[in-house]
Amino acid sequence: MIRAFTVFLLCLLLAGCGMKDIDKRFYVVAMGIDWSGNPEKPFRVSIRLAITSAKVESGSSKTQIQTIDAPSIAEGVRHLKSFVDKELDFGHCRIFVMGKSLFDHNDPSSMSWFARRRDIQAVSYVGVGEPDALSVLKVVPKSERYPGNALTLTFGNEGSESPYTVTTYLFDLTRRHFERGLDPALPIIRGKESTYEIDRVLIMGKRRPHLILDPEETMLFNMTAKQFPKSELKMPYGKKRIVLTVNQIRSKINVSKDDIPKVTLNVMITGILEESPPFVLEKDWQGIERKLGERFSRQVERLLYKIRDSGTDPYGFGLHYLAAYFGDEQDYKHWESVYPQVKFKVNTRVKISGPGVVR
Amino acid sequence: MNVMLFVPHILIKERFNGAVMSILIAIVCGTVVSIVTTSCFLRFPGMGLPEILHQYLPPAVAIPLIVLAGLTWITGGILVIYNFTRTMGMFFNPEMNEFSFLLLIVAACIFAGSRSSRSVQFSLEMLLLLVAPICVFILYKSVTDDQLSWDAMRVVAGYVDRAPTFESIAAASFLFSGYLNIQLFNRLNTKPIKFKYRWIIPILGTGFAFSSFFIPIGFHGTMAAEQYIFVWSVTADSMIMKYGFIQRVLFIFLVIFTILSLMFVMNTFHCAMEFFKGCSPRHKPKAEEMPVPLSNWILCTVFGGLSFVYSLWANEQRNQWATGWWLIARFCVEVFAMFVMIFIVFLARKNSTGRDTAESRPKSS
Repeated sequence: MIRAFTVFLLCLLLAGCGMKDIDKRFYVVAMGIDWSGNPEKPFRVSIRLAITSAKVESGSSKTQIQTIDAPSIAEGVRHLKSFVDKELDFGHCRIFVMGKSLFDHNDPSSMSWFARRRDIQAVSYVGVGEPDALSVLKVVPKSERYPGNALTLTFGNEGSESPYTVTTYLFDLTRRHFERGLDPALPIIRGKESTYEIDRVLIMGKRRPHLILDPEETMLFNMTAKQFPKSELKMPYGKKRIVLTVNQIRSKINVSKDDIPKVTLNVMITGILEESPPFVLEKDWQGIERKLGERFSRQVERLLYKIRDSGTDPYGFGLHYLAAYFGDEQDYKHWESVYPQVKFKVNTRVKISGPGVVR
Repeated sequence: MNVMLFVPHILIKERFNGAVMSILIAIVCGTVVSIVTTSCFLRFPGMGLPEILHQYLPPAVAIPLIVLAGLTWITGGILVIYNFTRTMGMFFNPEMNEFSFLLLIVAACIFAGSRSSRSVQFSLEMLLLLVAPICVFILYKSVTDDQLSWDAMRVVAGYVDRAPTFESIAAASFLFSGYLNIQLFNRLNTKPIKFKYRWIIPILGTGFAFSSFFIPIGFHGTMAAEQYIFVWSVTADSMIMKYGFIQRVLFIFLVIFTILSLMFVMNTFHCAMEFFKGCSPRHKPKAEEMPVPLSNWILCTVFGGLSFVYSLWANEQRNQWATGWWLIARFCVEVFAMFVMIFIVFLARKNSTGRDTAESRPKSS
């Protein structure tokens, strides 16, 4: 009897533990940080709140956007709470957009808020908003079924799998930001009437200005650095074009231990033809494979030199160099000093497994 | 198990200053200590540490030793309770009052710890069986994740030539402390048993030591891994279950974490309680008692009260400091206990009284 009573008392304790019902919470589905231009309150914090409704059909998602300027993100969020009638909940926020101007004016490491908050998922996606984060948040895609799920589906191959979209998780951004010999690469999100354009990537240098790759380079980067399949190889062939859809891509980095290291990137691509003039493949199977490979190698080499000249290292060549030779601080200093002179060599082996359905 | 006491955090802090070497040394130390102590205990079937000490040593020596062992146990339990409360408060329900949460845990632990040895042993086995598949799942998930950077792990592994530190060795050898249970649960082994599968200790220990150290580094890189206090919680959060009911692996991890913590605290409460009761030479331990004697309740409640006192004093920094020292002290006590046991086995063989005739010939390592 006494025991039962004790258990009952303990249960009473549970009831009063600060739980809040779901209808008294506002779920933040996306968050944007911008540079406000005001040095007193440099951060413009915007949040996109889900308005829950019983209807689940495309275009029925309703959201509400709140914005405030604040000296820090935490203060901004705290202040924003006074603008809304329910408690903010970040547990389902999976998109963080940072305004592009923020990268020019502020060091992102001052934003430890994300890492410190326990309820923010380490697997949420990070992107760069262009021209600013607020405009990205304001876009209302027609296809959205749940509030804010259009962006979530775009990243991480959950919905569309585009070779132009680079996915970066929050913990990955933190890791790359602190790591020696590895730099963060963030997708650039642009709002367009009722959809998003995410086809470029911003590479964040540690001390140097960042570098923005155009869509073509972004795809090459995604293919070689992230081994993203479902991409394409193409080349002009006579007056027509040959396009190969990639099923499988493997890339391997080798860094030699010379005075000035040489980076070799071996890429192995398998795929089938998607577009080509008729009967070409039968005539010159090996030749097309070789030409596609050479063209790809040339493009990637050009990209690598461009990245090297900007002083960034999103591939992690430096880290790989240290890993391959078990290097320590001295080796890293050496690497940093010679990185601007590093030579690149890309070898690509293309394997065409077939011409598709027709000859 | 080791995850809750900041062992990965301590090791990762020292990753450029000989943590890898320390792990290797700890594997050797831990294996030797655990195998030697266990083989010593197996020569006294049906006797726990208190009975053995009382039989071969005068009370003036035996009682302090038993109290020392009990203190080591209970401190560990209190530290785990505190760390567990912190983690739960951090990730489960931050709005809840820490002390009401602590009260719930302590109540559960007092109840569980005051059971008879047999019940505690059985529940340990059952919980372990329940948890093991999920642990294996999380480990598998983390190793096969494509975000895991093997380069970062290699870089840290390259620092193997740095001199090890004592704290890291002590921390890493905590992984091998599971054998300590035999100090008490040897009472239940009334028949002389042969210690089979002893090769599994170094293999499992090595596996867990390296995975709990290297996987966070693989996920958070060589530099950023240091800044996380709850390293493994964040690491579990960095994995995604795309097709699971819940997307965050963190919650599964927290469930295991809860089970393991409660299990550990139950164990420590129980062992410490039995040791303190065993201080008196006239105490006759029983494996099964129902209902449990009042002294069990009193002792466990005292332990529960102590954990409240500790959490009043501690904050994150003090707690880390205390945990570090506890790990070191525990390592010393373990090594000391091994030598005491060897000494007692030596005494026993010299006396060669009737008690231990049935022993199988030792394959002393």
